[in-house]
Amino acid sequence: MSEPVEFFFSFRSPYSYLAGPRAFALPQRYDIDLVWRAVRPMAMRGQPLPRSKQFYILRDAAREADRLGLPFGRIYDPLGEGVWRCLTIAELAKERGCLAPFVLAASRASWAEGIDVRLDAPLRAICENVGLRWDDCRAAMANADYRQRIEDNTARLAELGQWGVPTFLFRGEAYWGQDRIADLEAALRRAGLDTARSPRRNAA
Amino acid sequence: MSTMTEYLRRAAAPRTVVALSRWRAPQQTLGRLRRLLGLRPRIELFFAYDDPYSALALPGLIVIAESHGAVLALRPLLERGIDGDPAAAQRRHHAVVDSQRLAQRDGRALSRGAPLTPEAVAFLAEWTAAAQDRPGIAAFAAAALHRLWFQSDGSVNRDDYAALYRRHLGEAPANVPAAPTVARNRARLLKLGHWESPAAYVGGEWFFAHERLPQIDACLRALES
Repeated sequence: MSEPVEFFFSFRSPYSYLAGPRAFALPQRYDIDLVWRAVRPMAMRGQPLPRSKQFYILRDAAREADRLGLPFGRIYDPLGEGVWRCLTIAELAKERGCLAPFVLAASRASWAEGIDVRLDAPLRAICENVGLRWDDCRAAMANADYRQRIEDNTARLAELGQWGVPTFLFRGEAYWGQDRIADLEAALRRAGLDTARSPRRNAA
Repeated sequence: MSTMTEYLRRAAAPRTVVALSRWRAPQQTLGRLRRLLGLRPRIELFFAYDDPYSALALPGLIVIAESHGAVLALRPLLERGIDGDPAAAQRRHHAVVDSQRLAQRDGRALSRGAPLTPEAVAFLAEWTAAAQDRPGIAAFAAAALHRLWFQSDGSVNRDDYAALYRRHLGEAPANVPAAPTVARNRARLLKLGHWESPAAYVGGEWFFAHERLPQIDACLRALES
């Protein structure tokens, strides 16, 4: 049985967007089960975010995006209803087996393509491109169970003594930051979960 | 909120911040002007002795400054962070855990497993502030941070650090009130647009120094081009 690695993500976090492609690629290289834990943004859970920090995050995320070769800068901040729409549709996408394509497309839309995900037409295009039916997505947006899952994830992050995203949790240790995936991977290798060297994978 | 206001807040403002951050021409022009005037590039480091990230950042920053012939100006802090941050205590604890992992990347290990209080190391901030533009102060600060975070645990012995100070600056720490200088450093940090340690200000750009040393090096190279 694969070991769980919990992945705490916010659609309003540019660093979550930058982490997305590497995070979703982890199960291809390690014998892990990546557990999706979408949370409400810091600005929607009482964390102070002064302008200086907002500016630093944008400038640093731009530098990091350039380093990683990811598009960044045509921003449309999804804060509020846009975030909730993406969060709830991501829960549906998880059930339908298209979580990664949806999360990567929706976060890229907000951080690199200037798409306002609060609007039906562009969000519908994103959903249908990854194989979701728009009627199902509309129902997901109103699904109280999905919203409760997000509240539970947000509470879990706080219970862990963590506040920021992206955060990964592996064997009780939290790794916060898109630039800490390397440290998570080092821990996964130390745990013998590297599939290139795993006896289970070699036996298969 | 009007559609225009919404657009400005959600799209135009953040896009402008990003676009301006990528527009290097003004900084490069200033860099050329400084070179013409015979001025060296400058790294201003706002850091705290109770911050393990500072212990990771400073040695690398000294090497980078030397390789670019840059002035490394130290600005010790006591107060840092965001006022009213409910996660402040968790951040301090996480910084120790995270620093341990960052140190492991190059085969080192932190000796200290719990956060230090700012009060325990306030004398170091004041000694550094009193001599913050003197030669030898960066080497002292790096040595003191190394001793604090890589060579000791438990309480901080002031006499040990006084000996370290004498070794690097050739005299005993000045017995002058430097708390106002430390407070001014904090005010300058906020005025320039940052809030935390270890923050390096280079050519008008901010970097968290413990995790962005290669980017600081690249920024200095760009200023030289």
